[in-house]
Amino acid sequence: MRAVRYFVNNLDRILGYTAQHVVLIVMAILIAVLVWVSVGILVRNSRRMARGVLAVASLIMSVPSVALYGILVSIPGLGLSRQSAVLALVLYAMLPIIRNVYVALNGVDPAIMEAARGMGMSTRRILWRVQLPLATPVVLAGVRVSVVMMVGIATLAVFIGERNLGVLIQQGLVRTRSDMIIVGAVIVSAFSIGIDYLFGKLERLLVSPGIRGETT
Amino acid sequence: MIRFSNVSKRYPSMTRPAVDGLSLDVEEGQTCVFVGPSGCGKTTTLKMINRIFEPSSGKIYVNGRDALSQDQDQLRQGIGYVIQKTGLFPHYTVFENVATVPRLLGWDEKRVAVRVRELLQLVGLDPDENVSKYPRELSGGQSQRVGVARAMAADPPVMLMDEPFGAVDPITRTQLQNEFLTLQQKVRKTICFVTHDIDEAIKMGDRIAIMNNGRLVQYDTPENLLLAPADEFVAQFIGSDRSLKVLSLLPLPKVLKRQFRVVRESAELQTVRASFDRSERNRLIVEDDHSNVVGYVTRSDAEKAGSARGWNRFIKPFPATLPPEATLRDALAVMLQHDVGAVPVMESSHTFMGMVYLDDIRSYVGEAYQEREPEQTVEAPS
Amino acid sequence: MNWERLIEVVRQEGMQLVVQHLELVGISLSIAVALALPVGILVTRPPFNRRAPQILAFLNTAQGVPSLAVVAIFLPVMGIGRVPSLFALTIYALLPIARNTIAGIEGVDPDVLEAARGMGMSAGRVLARIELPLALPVIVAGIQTSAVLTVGTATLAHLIAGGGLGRLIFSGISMHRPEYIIAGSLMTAALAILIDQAIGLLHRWISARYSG
Ligand SMILES: Nc1ncnc2c1ncn2[C@@H]1O[C@H](COP(=O)(O)OP(=O)(O)OP(=O)(O)O)[C@@H](O)[C@H]1O
Ligand SMILES: [Mg+2]
Repeated sequence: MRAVRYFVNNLDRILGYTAQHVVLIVMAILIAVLVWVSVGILVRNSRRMARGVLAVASLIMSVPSVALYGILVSIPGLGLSRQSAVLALVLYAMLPIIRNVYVALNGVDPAIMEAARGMGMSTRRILWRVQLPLATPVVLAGVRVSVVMMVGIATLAVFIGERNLGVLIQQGLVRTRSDMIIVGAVIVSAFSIGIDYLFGKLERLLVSPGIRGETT
Repeated sequence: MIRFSNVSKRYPSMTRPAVDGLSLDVEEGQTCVFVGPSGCGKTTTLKMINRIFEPSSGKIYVNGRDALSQDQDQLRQGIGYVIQKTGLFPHYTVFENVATVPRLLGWDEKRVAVRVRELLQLVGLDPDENVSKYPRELSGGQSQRVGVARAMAADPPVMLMDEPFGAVDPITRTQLQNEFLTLQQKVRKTICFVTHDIDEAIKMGDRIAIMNNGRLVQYDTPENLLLAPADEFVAQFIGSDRSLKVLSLLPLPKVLKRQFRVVRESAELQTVRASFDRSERNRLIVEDDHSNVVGYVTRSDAEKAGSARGWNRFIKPFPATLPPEATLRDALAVMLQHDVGAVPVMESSHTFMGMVYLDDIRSYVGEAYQEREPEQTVEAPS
Repeated sequence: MNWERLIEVVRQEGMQLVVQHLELVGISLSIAVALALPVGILVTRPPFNRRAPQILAFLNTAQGVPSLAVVAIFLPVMGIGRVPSLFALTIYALLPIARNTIAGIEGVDPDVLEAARGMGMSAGRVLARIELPLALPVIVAGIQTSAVLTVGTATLAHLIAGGGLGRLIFSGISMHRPEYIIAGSLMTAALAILIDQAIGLLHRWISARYSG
């Protein structure tokens, strides 16, 4: 098959593109988790603030990715740069992460919260020892959705100068080369499936066996 | 130990206060049970002690110190807290759950480990089998026990329990109640216990606080409550079977008739008749040569018997007996069940201690009521 | 950047491209709903319903295929133009609708179903009166997701000569004309948000009438 031949002959380039893809996503997801989990924690006790933040997030979510890239590169100072690409991905992670953090932190069984308070645990300790550990599966699910989404959206960043797996598809389109398109599509798809799998592993690592396999 | 001084609590959403001018003292080592219809303010009262809710007015003292001016977390670390839904942390093992407060207090891990095992044993759970389990692997009753162990972990002098046995089946419930009573005999904590079950209140409480619409209606011992309800509401709440309930609080010895004529199995008919002549009762207790009770013989039978030892075939065994620690309620139950007017009380099932008579129970209870009847107040002329 | 040029771009080409874009979205979304709903319902009927979890897992994975790949992959077979664009968009739009239809119906409380059957409702009636109404919010959410995705993916139709607002964005990027990019991006974003809201409104209107 031509696609296989293309893959074998261009392994070096393909690995380079994959590396670029990974770097972009890792940068974006690290920033996204740090920022959006913090925001989720900050707004956890204020319904009004949470509503506002989530409204903005779902508005961003409904902006098509090509349009968001377009808007970002038009902002002076960002332009056709990696910052624009990372920022776009981070913005898309806003809704799934904040919503899941907010819902999960507030979804902790009131009886558990009361027991924790009744034992004299401070608000901070309750957050770190009770709420966050219990929220971990749901928060992870949000991060997982974000990353899978990012893998696909990152391919479109080739139009704003990224040189990742999207190049294969874009070049395939330009040159009408189905082998390139297929290789690109297959690798990106395999990539998102692989990440899904990794998150399964991560869950075993981070989530207490006492609540594993449940969705709160 | 715990003092409420004119405490009220209003929720913004309610027109009347949830708790209204509550004043009451719980003495050290005693169990005070709050009971009343749903929504009367029991839970609110309890949660004001560890300041899950803050009172709107009034003062609460715990161990002689003003609870409201203490550091909230410190106050709570000194109060054990058990709730109906257990509130066990599902992501912690049984060990970690019980260890929560000792760790908060900064105990070293060795001491924590020793304490956790000791506590599990105390509440009747095998430590080896249970320490590494997660709450979802426990039955309802086991969860409740872990909840109690966790509340007692740092040996707090005060325990708050909100319907701790409300969510388990009746058999487990009775079992937990009994274990709790045995445990409380040992540890002697000051306990505030909430229930809406009057029977549980009577069983568990040294004192019972009956509440209605946020107000304390009566605060008394179970006996006084049953014998002299303060008003119509209390009487109704206790139920029309309160005279039956009172029976379960009254011990047998009060009505036990100990003076009894006893004859040996081996005695001659003459001796038996002589005993009847000297007694106004119509029955004699019959013992064997080792002083074990074998039954009784009636006057008329003794008169019918012909030969010296022929009376032996008229000896009738007792259909039922009672242990000395039985209550009047048990006695009554046995009498009704076997359709008899008297039941013997036997120590370790063969040493005769006396008889309980239905008539005696009736008159004793009647007297008890009369004694506690609230005195008629004579209105002073204005 | 120059605001007058931006307004000019919108006035000269914008309206025509918006119409093209709406056509792409409207046609592919309609076909997708018409296909995905019955298929989704079918999957929840016996004997397929035993496979429903696997089918759901497959649909979730398929959603991970990037939109660019879907648009590109039919190029070798179908060439360029409107028809291949519509085809690719329809395929991509199917997934969320089918997924949510299945998940929504599967998510109906089994007790409710048992009660309905116990009252002697026929299977068809249970579907029409119980399952679909209860699953409606989830199904509508799927259509909303699908619509938003399709509006975005339709920008890529430009890459295979399918027309639409993608033209403004992509030519803006290649010619370094920010006013083109901005005009295209803002119009696409506005379109997506409007369609999302419109479907939401429609849903509320329908459910208000249903529950009368
Ligand atoms: N957090 C709250 N906010 C507003 N009102 C409350 C709150 N908690 C309780 N109430 C109200 O205060 C009253 C007393 O409630 P409380 O929970 O103390 O009753 P309770 O005696 O424990 O009842 P139950 O037997 O049902 O548990 C009720 O009318 C209840 O509706
Ligand atoms: Mg209560």
